[in-house]
Amino acid sequence: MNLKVTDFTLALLLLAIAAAMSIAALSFPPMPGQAFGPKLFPNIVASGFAFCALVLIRRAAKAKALKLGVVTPEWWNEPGRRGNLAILLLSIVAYTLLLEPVGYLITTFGVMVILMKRLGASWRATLIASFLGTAVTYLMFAYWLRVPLPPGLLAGIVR
Amino acid sequence: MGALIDAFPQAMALVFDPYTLGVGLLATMFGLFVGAMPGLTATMAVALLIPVTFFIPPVPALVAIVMSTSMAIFAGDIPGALLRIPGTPASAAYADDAYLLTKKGKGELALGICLVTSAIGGIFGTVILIVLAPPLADFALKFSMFEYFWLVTLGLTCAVFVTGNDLLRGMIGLLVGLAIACVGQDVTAGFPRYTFGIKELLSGVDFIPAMVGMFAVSELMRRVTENAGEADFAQTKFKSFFRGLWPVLKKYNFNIWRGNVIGTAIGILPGAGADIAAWISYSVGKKFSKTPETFGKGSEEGLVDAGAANNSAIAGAWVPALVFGIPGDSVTAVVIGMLQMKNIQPGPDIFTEKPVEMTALFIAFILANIIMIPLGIAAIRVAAKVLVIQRAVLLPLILLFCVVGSFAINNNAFAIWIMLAAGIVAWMMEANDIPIAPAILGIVLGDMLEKKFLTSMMQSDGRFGAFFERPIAAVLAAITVTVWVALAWKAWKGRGAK
Repeated sequence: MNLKVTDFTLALLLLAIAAAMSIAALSFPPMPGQAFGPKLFPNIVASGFAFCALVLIRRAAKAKALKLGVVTPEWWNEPGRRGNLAILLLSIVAYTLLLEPVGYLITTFGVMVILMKRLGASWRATLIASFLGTAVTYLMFAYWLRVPLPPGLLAGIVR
Repeated sequence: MGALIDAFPQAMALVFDPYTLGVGLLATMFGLFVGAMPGLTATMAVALLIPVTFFIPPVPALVAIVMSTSMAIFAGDIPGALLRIPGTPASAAYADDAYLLTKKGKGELALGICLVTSAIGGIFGTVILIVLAPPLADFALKFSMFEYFWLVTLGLTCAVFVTGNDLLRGMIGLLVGLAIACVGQDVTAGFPRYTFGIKELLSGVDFIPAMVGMFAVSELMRRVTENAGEADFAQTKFKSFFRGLWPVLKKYNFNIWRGNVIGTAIGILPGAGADIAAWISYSVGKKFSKTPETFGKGSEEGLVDAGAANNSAIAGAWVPALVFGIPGDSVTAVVIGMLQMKNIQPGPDIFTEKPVEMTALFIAFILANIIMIPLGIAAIRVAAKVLVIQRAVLLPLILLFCVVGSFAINNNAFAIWIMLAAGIVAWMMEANDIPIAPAILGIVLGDMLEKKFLTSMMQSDGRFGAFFERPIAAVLAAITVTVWVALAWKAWKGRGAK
């Protein structure tokens, strides 16, 4: 289960996407000598979104449910689980930012330890799994598939 | 077909090369593991494998994908029978039957039926793929841009109405995919659209990180907010899986055939794969059964019906994917992206231009369904030990594969941002019952649709009538337009709603 919005909210969201797509498409140049150019498909997709939005609004009106809002699931009220989601997303962001300056081995190990501990693994399992996960993916990608993973702080120490 | 037969010895040598076999074996174990872990799907297995296949030659890459999907779809039955939790959506239709049979002390029989009908279904689907795809490709050589335009349109339309109960939400899913496909330089003039000045977006949204995000990251987001349940196995020790199996298979041999045919046909339909095949075959089986009241309460017949269907859908989905470049399911949508990166362009020429790879693909399918029996038995025997792996350890490790895989493709951390964004979009879509499969088809086919349309318009000097002039194009157009009108009407009337 996760976050669900009302039909009316979804409709407004789709209308906003449709409007943004069409407004941006205004600046697309035409194809010389052709009736259709780069703006045709974005406009068709935007019209499709607008059509779907209208149908959703009609449905909401019929059901007398023209209201904005988010239907929060049960887990949303449990801070622990909301926190799990936040930490998952934040760890991806941190990973992306730190990967090149700090390097693959340190960043990966660090993020694995944080996530595993957060989700409730024992220290023993965390350390073993984080070490093996980091080492196996490193060997697989850096050696077998020859992907130059960023060495970061360990430059000169690892390949 | 001649080129394929000529390529047979070389393809055999390539498939049975130690390197390929090694990759295939690893992919097999990976597929069995991912399929057996509840919540991890066959498409996710392929999405996580794609970054690896990017770096290896085409034949081992194809073998890896075939092995992992075939195994994952079967392995989804294991936790269904042991824990009443389907490992993949393709096993959901009959998880109750498998579990209740196991509870009655018939675990070996339940899993034996799943295993053997999966293997038979897989081989049936492969035979149809081998028999149907090359002649269909010969026929498709006559197609021009116009026919392709209508085929792609029909494929996308089909994806809307086969997934989910609500047509409108299917349409929204498709539009999300098409909108994502609009990002990047446009296909004719090369004008950058919706790139926000980011140079990595000029060539469009990177396919691999987007797939990893939509199929793996979104699932991780759902799983970290769930409670970890204790695994309560219905059975942990097993005797022979074949005792008492033959009479059941003999009794329901017609169901096996029917399941195979339904599964393969659903697989061929764009957008619908093994999960929908299993549901439909199960409900058809129930409708024609002499004992429909047993379905859902431990029915051997229901297991045969659905088990025979889901694995046959896997190979079926490759028919339109190879011949027209129109994916039959989410897995082949990911595969088309991979083939294009390997410079193998799906289309009617594929069997004449890449006969070795295609023959190798067929061999891999047959091989996968044969080795499924011994390896499947081994997987069932160790399942009770593997399925207890802590969620707290498993989820971060999956995330690790997601990020390193996305990064590795271009050695660029920007791919991880795409992965994250795609994951959040897919998570929000699923929360609002908007199906993912049409979106994937939209991403894969969006460029092709636009290109075929615009180049056709150029060819015909802007005359729209040209789309209806050639006989095959006219037939395809008539079908497509009729379906559209019906869909729009249904959506407006709200009858497409649940």
